[in-house]
Amino acid sequence: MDVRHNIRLLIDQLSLSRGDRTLIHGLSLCVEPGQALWLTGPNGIGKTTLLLACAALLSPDEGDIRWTSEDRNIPANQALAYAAHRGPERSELRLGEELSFWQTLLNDDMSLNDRLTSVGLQDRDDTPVAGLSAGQIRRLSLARLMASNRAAWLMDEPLSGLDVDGRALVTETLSQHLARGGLAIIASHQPVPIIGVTAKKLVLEPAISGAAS
Amino acid sequence: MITRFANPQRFVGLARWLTPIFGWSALLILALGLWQALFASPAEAEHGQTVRIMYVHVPAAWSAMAAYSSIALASLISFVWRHPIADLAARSLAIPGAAFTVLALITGSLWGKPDWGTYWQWDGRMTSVLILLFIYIGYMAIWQVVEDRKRASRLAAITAMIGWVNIPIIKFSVEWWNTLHQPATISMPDSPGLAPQLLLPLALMALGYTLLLGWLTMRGMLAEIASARAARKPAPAATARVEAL
Amino acid sequence: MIRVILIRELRLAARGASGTGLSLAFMALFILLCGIALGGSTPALGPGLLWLAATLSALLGLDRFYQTDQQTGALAQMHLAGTTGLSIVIAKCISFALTTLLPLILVSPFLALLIEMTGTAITGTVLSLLIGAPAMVAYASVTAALLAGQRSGGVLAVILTAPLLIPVLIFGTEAANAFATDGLGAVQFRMLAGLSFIAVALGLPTSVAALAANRGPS
Repeated sequence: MDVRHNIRLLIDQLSLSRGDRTLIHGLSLCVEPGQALWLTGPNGIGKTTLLLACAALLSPDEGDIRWTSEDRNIPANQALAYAAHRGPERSELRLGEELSFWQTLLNDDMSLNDRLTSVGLQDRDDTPVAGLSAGQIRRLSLARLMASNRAAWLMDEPLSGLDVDGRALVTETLSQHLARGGLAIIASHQPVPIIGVTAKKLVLEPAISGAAS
Repeated sequence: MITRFANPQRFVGLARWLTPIFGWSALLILALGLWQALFASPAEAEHGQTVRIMYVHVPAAWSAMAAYSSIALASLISFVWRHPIADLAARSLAIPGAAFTVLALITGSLWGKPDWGTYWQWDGRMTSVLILLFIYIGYMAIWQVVEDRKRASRLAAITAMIGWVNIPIIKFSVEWWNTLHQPATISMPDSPGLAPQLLLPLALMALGYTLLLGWLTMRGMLAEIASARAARKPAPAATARVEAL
Repeated sequence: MIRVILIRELRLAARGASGTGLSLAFMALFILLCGIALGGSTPALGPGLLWLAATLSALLGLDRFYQTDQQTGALAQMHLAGTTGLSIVIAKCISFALTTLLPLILVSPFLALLIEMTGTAITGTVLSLLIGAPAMVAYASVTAALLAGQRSGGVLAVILTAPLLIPVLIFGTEAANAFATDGLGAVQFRMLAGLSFIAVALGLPTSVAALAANRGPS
């Protein structure tokens, strides 16, 4: 079943903590198909933690996070793809080996070469992962998102380390994904320019110490 | 029963009331048992006075095993139902359980010296108790090394359960191996065959150890709950604000 | 999916990521040390020494079982890609058996010559190691999965795995010794096969549960 055009994210009364620090408390929001949510705020405020929780890799203290399609719950590992800040690639492998492994796991129907070309890494499939630059690793990460064919993309700092072309690539890919009815949650310090779609911005700010005590 | 005490608050109420009862009755029964074991009961025909070590040793070995089985059961409840009190119980049973294991090993080898002529025999039961000690050490180490509390509790529960399933296999293997390599002349007295006058101190000591185990565990659990309260999570570090772009 | 993950594992092992060479070197060194400490030829102790050497060398390589893929986030990504935990565990176990344990078993006949074991004893030991291998892999997998989130779990890995492996060690060495008189039909071999079966049945789901508990940030 193709769920990509109507999946939505519902967050209800969510509380999250890392270690013994409560980061987020009582957060409720909804992200609709075709919508982007931009998470922003200073380092350590809980952006990555929120992404991890959305990917069901971290269980909330309270509240819940649901991915739904026509009022049916979709398990996180069928709903989304997650481009973490640090990728899963192994330095011992070559770029082509690494990407084609994930393509197979994700049932991507595009060929390796086309996929590499789509993120500007054509003719690089023999380069060892250890020899890729930070920007090229970001592109690989983007290629994995595209290969996933999932309705929701979670992206952690997708623009870091990228050159001008790279940023344009992220913007364009993301805009196409949203235009097709996909959904994206993007944790980023810098604004991600997306054209022609609705977006929400979730600002996480340090709580005022008086209120916190 | 299981869901009733999932609430730490309700558990604390019950435990505050039960803990002193366990403590004082353990003291009383252990005193009575020791008096019976060391003075009131007669020396046994085959082992003479050294049989008195048995009253300290055998219940210790029983308690060590009972404590581990309780850890495994509590771990199962904690793993399946994510029951916080079962989780606390499993964790708090580990140190007293390991202490009883050490006590069983020490008293066992002290008993072995006069009886076997050596402090250590590769006897099936003694060897199994020694292996049990290592299983305890592994279990406690998981709690030690895994920083995240929730994760530690899941992993420790898994460790306890797989250890428990393996204990009968280990015991069988060690006993089988022992019959192959040790002359079968040495054996510990089997408790069911004991004379009634030996049975009374043994029963008293076993009950006393069980109460002691209960008391130590309850105390451990109460201390854990208290320290969890003291380290209560501070107010959230962030406030969230949604804006349309 | 198992095949795809296994191919990746074997490729990584071929590039040296599984530390096969180090495990082999450790096993040879262990036998050398035993020979020296025990005064040269010790054929009677042979099966026991080889079993100990193989077990300890295999446990030394445990860090590489799940840890690297846990730390890079690859295990989480495989889960998000819809791969089941069981497929991951089976693929990793086969890879560990092929790249770590099998090489150790294959060099054991040569190391056996160092301690002057006879041909029959060597055959018996190798056969017992092969039949006990599934149990070793299964329990190694459980421990590795439990410690996947730790930076280094070397000594603890041994402490956690060794008690579970005691029955395998007992029936493994006994089977090796019984081979000279009773051949492969010895009851010890059947017991060993039974232990391997139980270990796999227990070890696979336990590893899956432990990996699931370790999922997420460490």
